[in-house]
Amino acid sequence: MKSIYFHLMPYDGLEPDFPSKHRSVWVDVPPDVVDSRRMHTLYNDYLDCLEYADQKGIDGIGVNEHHSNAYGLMASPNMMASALARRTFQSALLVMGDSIPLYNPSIRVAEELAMLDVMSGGRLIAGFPVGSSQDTNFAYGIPPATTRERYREGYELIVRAWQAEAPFSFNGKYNKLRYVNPLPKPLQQPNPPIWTPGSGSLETFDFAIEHDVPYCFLSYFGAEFARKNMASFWDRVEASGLDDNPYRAGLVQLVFVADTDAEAERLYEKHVQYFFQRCTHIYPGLTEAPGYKSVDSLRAVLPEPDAPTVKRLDSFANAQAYTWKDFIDTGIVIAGSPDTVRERLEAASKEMRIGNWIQLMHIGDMPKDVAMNNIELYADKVAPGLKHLWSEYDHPWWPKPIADADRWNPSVSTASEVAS
Amino acid sequence: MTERRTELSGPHAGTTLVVDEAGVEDGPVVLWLHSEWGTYDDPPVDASVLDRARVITIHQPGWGLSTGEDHLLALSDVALAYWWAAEQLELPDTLVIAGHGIGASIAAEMAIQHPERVSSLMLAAPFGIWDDAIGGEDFFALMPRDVAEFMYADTSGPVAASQFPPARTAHEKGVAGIRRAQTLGPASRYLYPLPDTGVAERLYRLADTDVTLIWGAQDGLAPIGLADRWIERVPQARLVRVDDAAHMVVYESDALSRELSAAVATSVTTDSKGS
Repeated sequence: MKSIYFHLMPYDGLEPDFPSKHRSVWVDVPPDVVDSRRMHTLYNDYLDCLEYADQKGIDGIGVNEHHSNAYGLMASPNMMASALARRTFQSALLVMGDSIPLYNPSIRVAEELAMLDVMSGGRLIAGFPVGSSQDTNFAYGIPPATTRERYREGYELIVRAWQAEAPFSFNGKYNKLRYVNPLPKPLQQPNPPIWTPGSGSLETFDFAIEHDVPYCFLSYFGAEFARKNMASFWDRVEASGLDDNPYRAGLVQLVFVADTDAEAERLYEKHVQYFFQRCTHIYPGLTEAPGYKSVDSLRAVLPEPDAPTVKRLDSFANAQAYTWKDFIDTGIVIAGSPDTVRERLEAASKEMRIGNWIQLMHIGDMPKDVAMNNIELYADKVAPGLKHLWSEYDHPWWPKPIADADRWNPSVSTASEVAS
Repeated sequence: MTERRTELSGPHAGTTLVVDEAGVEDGPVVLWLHSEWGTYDDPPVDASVLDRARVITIHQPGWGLSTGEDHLLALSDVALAYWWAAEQLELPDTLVIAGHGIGASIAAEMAIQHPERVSSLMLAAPFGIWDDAIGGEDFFALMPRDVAEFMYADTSGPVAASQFPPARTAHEKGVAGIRRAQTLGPASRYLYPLPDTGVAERLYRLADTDVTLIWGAQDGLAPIGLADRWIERVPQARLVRVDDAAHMVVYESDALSRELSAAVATSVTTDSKGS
């Protein structure tokens, strides 16, 4: 199986009373709650952590995209990935966004990701989310009813642009270009691996299946609550006639390792609480603009008329009151000793056929030293015990970097002569 | 309320436009365009209109019955589709056109395209002109439970209770969410992220049109201050202000019936292709 060290780049200074004082951490969050001086340190600390994950041999490192969001201050994943491409050398680079509908023309995504693939020596995984409604609709003003149509069109344009051997014209509904000719082409041909993240909508399942690319379930509630979604995904995979390669599936999971289970609680609980008590405070009206999900998707989760009214365990409202034990028991957090973490990841992998784990190993206001410790313990004591998992399968959606001998070497000048 | 229903095939291949008729068949025609919230007991008019007029309600594409919204990129495209429907139904050359919310926005676009065919234009709480100083609640970002105070003057009155019944069970909340998607989803094509449709630049076409603006004084979605912005561009427009109403003014008051009744009385049916 593959482990990817994924980062949200959150702000660490939200006050305890943030939820009572403000409507939402996302979209209309008051800008003065985020101190840019502090972010100077945090951005660099976070990049250090991602670089350290590469140094420790974790399979991949991942960046994402959010807008107007105090727990996700990575408005430009490409910018962060660019910094990482220069200073990491082994890990795959999972960029997830770019959220295609946000970019018009979408050719900009093709260009920047191709640059990243070239800079990194062919280590890019292009994650293409539709984009959350908060980012896409509310922060960027894309009409919800057109979001998926724009996604499909942009996706087609980007892939064609990467693969085309000659300039072409593109007459889409939203992208009209007389000349499509981005340069350079990606190093990985015909294109870097593409993954499609989603939050459970049937449309995204089907898109991943239709395009024969991995589907990654993005949720902060972990593997246990993903069972129904992943089962539905695999049912649709089977119905489509595709194989059941576990690398078709990815899952976000909070993962924290310590020497013992008790030590994990001591080290990590307060940072998990910070995240679920302050960072997930979102006004429900800003969660999903009408039209973002199809009526069919909404009907698919409509409770029966006689269904009891109970609060979902995987709701941010409920999670605000969770104890560490709740987080562990519900599987929202996989944490503990190396053995505990490995066993739970392995079990979940097998039960849901998950090949790609997108691991949030930093959360909330976790300081750098704690985050580094987590990386070290995971890399040294957990990952080795999981390497064998799914080793009988090829991973056709994993980057294929150029050979080490062909990689850029900072100690060798590319100039043949230096003018004197 | 529906007495006759017609399903038109078109205007684009494979699409359907559903049209309901009420009232008297040989009366002057009133074309009614519902709001972004869909249809309730439409058309929201009383016997003073129905006893004298043929009221045609178009179910707007995307809101449930009619299809083809993917082909209608702008409100002007919707307006053209409705003129096509008028031809299919062999409606008279001149019509009274009335609309509410986004329906009013489309009604205005229809009149802009063919002012000579509109004997009277009734716009109830129209969207289309935005003014930063006036604003208006972002109804795309409001939960069903929170939107009522901006839509109704009396949030506990019978109109609000029938149109936005409190959702108590998980099922009812789910249904409310589906209805939100079914109505505001298609509306987002034209009114998102700000309800500025550019109509302000086209209103010069209505210089000779009889225009009535009907507005609830407590409208929180399209505040009544916007009426001034319309009147600046259509100086002959008459404003009917309803103090005890908000955005759902056509259901909370009888202003629409009164205005339509008067318009129908003076309307002259000419060149009735159907007769």
